[in-house]
Amino acid sequence: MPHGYNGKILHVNLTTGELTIEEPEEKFYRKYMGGSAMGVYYLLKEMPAGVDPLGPDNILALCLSVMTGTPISGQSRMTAVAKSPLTGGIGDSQCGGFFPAEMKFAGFDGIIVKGRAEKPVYLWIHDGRAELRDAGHLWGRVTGEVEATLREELGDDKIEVLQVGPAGEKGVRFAAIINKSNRANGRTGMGAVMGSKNLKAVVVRGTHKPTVADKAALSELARWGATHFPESDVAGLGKYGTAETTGAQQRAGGLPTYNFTSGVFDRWEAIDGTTMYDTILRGADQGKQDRYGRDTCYGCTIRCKRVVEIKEGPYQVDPKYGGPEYETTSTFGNYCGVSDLPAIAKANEICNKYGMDTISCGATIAWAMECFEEELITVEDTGGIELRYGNAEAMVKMTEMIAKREGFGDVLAEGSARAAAKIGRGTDEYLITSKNQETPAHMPHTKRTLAVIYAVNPFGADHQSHEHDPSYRFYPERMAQLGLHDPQPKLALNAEMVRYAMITQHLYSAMDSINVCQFVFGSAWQLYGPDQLVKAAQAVTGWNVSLYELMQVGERRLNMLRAFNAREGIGREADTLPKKFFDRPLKGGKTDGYVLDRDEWRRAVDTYYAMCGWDVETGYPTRPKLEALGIGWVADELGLA
Amino acid sequence: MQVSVHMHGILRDQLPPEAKGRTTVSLDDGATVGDLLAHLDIKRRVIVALNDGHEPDETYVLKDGDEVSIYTIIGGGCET
Ligand code: SF4
Repeated sequence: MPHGYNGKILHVNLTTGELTIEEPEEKFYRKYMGGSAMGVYYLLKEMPAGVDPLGPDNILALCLSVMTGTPISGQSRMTAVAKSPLTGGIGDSQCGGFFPAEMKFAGFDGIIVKGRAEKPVYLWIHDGRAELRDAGHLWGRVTGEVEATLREELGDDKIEVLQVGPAGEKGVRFAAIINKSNRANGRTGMGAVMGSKNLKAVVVRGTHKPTVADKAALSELARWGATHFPESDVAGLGKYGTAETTGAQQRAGGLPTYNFTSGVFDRWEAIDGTTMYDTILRGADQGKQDRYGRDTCYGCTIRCKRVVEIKEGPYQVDPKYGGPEYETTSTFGNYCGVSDLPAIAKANEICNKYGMDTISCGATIAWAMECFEEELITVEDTGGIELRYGNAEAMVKMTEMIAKREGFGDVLAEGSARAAAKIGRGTDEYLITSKNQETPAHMPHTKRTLAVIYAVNPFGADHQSHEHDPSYRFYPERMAQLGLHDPQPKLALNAEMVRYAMITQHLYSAMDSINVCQFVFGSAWQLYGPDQLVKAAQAVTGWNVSLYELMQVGERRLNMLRAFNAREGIGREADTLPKKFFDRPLKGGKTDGYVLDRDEWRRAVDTYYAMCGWDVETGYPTRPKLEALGIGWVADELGLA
Repeated sequence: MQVSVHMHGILRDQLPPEAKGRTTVSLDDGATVGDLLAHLDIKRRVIVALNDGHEPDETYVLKDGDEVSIYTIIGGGCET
């Protein structure tokens, strides 16, 4: 009997209605661990190149890991992987919440979904049994309603519901998969893929908790975490949420404002984490927001999730839809020049209710606002809406129109890159996308390794794929565990910083395979460091896992994701950054005049490919590299010599 | 001398809630940033910034009337 995992993968063919259970051998789990690595394994093995991301031939993999559902903070994560309707290459997105742990208790480590159901269905999994049920009555309905209906229908309050909202049904290209009505597999349009399959929801309930090989060791680690949390660098993240970081970004001139025109937002204090805590968290009126205004994921002591409740005023917000993260206060806030926190919380609610990624949605609106200010988009396009910076009402309205694909919202629902191609008029000059995915709220102008990772990341600009620059200097002890001993001067983008980016990227990639929260485990400021990730993996699985082995899992995943793209013909030419970052110096604050240097960036990307053992011309993984990682079969799949 | 201090994020919890992270501190002439942090009993990893955006290290000698902002380095921080 394996420890930590079920040893069962559920295969669902929606076209035929057939459900089959695969029982992979132990070495499969040890080699890929779960999450994204496990998902892309099935995509590479079972899906040909060139399929329509929104057609029946796309595969949607929902994968847990060998650690999901065990008693340690940060393990309740699920990764969704499919070909992305936003990037055209690999799509990849993680969620937290309680769904991942409950799915493990329900008996499966992964669900591989193929085909398309003739009519809307949902998948009901309980204690090892799975069935497809009619979801006609749920189609078109928002997440909170669907969740309530399913609870009543199945007569069980403890079910966990993973679903697409109306935005996913309508193929909004950055539609999210939502669980708990407030957690998201947000990025790369995984909700549009699920919607295109007529799969409205996956509902899980289980009573079989995974066994743990060394309970004492795992409890010891959990105790250490609980004791050290208050003095740790994630204590503020727990209390004030991710938006606690707003002030620090502002100070450094790294708070993306007016669609990355500036790195400072003069009204930042109106939208930061402490203001949210003081004003709109549930319970704030009685000073009880720690009790009512914070939420968690299964088994996590940090409790960083926000619960906002607004009962009066123009923007009323239902607490069941959670509250905004830093990324969300940024994209709907500083990106758009909006400092109305209730309006931002409303936009967040709409995204969770209809199922959309808050980053791409807010950033797409910010791009449209800049084009409007530049008179490239007019009221003729928007249907009379003055889409100007700072117009909170227009921002909220547009969010809703995108969710419903109404009017100009239908154009923006394609994502900013496709919208720019459709509108023309030079609007592409203002895009802030990499591989068609909108850039999250961390600026490569101040944290230079982001310039490399945003460009080379297989699924487009992502801020959670490596450790940001300042950590190299601030956390020498944890850095040393990864063989990183030489922090460089601020703003350097030399070979050592590229090495730092690549090595921490491999660790983050491992964490996206073993599926742990990157606020809990990581290479620097997180509650637990790399050595403790190893201890946790050992304690759960009973395998004598090493850091070397985990780093290989991470590198293996990354190579498989790049290989997926290579098979689609997506390589180096797609590893770009927004033109704006090179051509338009930032305005105001500490980063006034900052701009990226094309030659320096290109050299850094070349160095990165070479360090990765990839073909510098094409950016594709090479056969020797794939074989060195024990995945020669991927080289065969690609037809590499 | 007196310096006004703005303690951001979780650091504000070291002051009474109504202060919202803002306070004024009296220090001996010649006091450094390090002295200020000790006076405020700040043990976390922090970044200190002056009003003009300058980020002094702990040896920096403060002046009367300085406005000091103190930040934790959440998420690895951000620096320029
Ligand atoms: S740190 Fe936050 S996101 Fe991560 S597991 Fe804990 S509650 Fe969930």
